[in-house]
Amino acid sequence: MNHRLSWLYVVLAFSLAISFNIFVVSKRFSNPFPPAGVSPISEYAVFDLAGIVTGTRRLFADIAWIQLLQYYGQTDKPVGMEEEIETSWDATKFLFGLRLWRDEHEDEEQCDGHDCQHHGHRHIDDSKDPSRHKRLLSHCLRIVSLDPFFNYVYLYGAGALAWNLERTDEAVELLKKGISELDAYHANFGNDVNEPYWRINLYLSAILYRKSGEFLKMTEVLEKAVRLPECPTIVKSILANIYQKDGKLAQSLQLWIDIYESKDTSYHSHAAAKITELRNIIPLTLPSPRRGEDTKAGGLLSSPRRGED
Amino acid sequence: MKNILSIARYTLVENIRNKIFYVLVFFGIIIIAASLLLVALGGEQQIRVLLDFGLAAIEFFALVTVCFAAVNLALEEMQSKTIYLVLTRPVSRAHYLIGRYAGLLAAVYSGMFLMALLHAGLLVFNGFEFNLRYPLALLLSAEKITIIGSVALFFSLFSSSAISSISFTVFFWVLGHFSEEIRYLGNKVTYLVPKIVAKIAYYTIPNLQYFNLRDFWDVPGITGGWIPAAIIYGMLYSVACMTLSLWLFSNKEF
Repeated sequence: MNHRLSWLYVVLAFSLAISFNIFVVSKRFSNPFPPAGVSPISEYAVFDLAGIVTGTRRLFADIAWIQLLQYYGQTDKPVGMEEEIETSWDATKFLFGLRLWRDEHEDEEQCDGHDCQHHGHRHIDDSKDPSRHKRLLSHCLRIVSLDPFFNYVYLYGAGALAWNLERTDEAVELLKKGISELDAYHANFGNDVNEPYWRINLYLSAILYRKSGEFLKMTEVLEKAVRLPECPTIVKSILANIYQKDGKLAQSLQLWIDIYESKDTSYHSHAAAKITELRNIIPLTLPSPRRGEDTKAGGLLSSPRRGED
Repeated sequence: MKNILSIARYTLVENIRNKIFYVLVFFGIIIIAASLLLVALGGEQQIRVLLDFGLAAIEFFALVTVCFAAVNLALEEMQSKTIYLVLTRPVSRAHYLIGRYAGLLAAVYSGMFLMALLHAGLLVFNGFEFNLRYPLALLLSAEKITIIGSVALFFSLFSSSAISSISFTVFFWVLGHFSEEIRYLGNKVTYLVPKIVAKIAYYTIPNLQYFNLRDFWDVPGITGGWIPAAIIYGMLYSVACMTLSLWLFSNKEF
């Protein structure tokens, strides 16, 4: 029963597989990613290369994204020993379940939106200092060097750089990088890139209007941007703050409600505080929610009943 | 055919009863569930993080399982000499090896299916809109595992050492994902010899980027026109590696 297999079968089988690769598959497939380059942040170069050689660019881009959020969420100021110990102790207690959810929630209630930082996010109003988070652009470029189609990074990074950190040049550089990646992809593959291309250009025009001091035009462009899918909450909150400054309180309130009802929980407490603040400023006459539709935001929104105050 | 099915069933049961298999699948499930912690850190990109982390974890644990199991598939029975019991019966060496390989793949696929089930459940629970890309990405991951399983089997018969076989297989895995960079280097280099070496390497090493749909998820306008051809290529490459393993196995003196 045990016949010896001729080596000719082996040669034939490999020839068939390799020929099929050369003449059929490789002709139909083109790698959409640009060739691996050097990471913009040198200490992550080896880590990022590991993502490329193991075929997990997206996963490593996600890890880099989380690192960006942690970088942007932390303060540049040196943390004192006491504060460090307190934070570590808090984290340990939370991990072992000693810290109750109620305590965590109480923190959220106390959050006033100014000079307050928790849950890995920071508030918009306290970060307008161009000298802070100097490596934010490098972090963004690192992510898009791993996954150039992670469009959200261009929008988020540009929003944070232009409006929160007042570094419009860097924001423009990031958006231009996104445009050039899409241009190169379109030129090589001919695929339709209109949607992300248009969205990035919209943000670019808003930033350029801001740079040239044409705030009315900038607001108009931002209004278009927030209506599009994938609009980062950071941009919505920027427009809401602009509205509030311009005295358009109802529009500002509507945006904060959208933010509150979005999936991004990091803005939850800040949005709730803003809704309460705006509710106290403007006398609202919003239609009462229908039966069974009383959401959390609805609860926050509903005008105080007579006698309640 | 009956012989192959009997051996495949026996291998499937053997693998499923194996503690290492249990540990790996269990660990995979734990990791996928633990990805919820990472999701909490993902800001507004929670679903993307959950999707990518889960798909990569499924593939990684399937790779580890197939590597360890394929390397020990025939090696263990050869070392313990229990292989004589099978080969002295009217079972050809080819039937034995094909049956063992098929059983191993069935075991790994069932592990992948379990992990995918949990992952899909978590995704849907978090508001993921299900589409055809998800099962297709899993199918292509399974195709990668099929290729790597056949490569690992060949190395186990070739080197007769579990550690070196695993090392060679992992090396092939990395090279397979690096193949597009090899092509790029081949196109850029001006000297003839390195150019030819790069071209040969590009076409002979299994190009695992063809099966990396989970990495191309957000690429605009991608149609996946190459996928049917890539599936056929994966099968052809696995068959070629199995033919090589069969040739080695049929010439082996016990």
